[in-house]
Amino acid sequence: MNKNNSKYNYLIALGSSLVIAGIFMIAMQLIREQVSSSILSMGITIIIIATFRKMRNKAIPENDERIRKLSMYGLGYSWITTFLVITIFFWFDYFGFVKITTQQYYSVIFVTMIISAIVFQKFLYNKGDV
Amino acid sequence: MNTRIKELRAKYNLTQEQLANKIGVRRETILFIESGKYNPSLKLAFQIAKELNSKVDKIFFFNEEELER
Repeated sequence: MNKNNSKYNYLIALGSSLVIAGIFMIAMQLIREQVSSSILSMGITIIIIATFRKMRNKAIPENDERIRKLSMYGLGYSWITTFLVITIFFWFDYFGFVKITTQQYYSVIFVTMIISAIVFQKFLYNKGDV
Repeated sequence: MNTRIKELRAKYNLTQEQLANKIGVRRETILFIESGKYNPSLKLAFQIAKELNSKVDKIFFFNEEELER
C-alpha cells in the first residue's frame, strides 16, 4: 500500500467515526440537533472526497505541480464565490426579501463550496495554466 | 513559450505518457508544456531536460516580446 492510499484510508476512517458519532448524538439527543447533523455531514463529506480521491489516485500522480497549483486557485475562486453568495443572501435576508434559516445557510455554504470548487478546478485543468 | 520537447521526445522515441511517468506528472501537464500553455517550475524544467538528455536553455525558449511582458 502506498503512502497516499494509507492517507485516504485514515481519512475514510475519520469520516466513518464522525458519521457514527453524529448518528449516536442524534439518537441519544446529547447535544443540539444542528451540531450533530453538522458532524454527520462533515463525516459524509470526508468519506465521499477521500473515496473519490483514492479511486483517482490509482492513475494520477499526486505531486503534479500544475494540478496542485490549479487546485489551489480553484479552491481560492470557490472561497470567493461562496463568500459572495453568502453576502448576497445575508443582505436579501436583512432587507426582508427572503427569510433564511441557519440550516439553509449551512446548506447554501455546503453546496456552493463543493460545486464551485469542482467547476473551477475542472475549468482550470482544461485551461492549462492561470 | 516555445519548446523542443516534442522534437526530443521523437528523437528518443518517447510518448507523452512515458515522459510524464518518468517525471511523475500527468500526461496533460506534458501536453500543456509542449503547447506552451503552461510554464513549468525550474525544478520540472530541469527534470524534463534531464530525461531528454539536454539542457534547459536548449529546450525552452521565450521570444523577446514574451520576456518584456
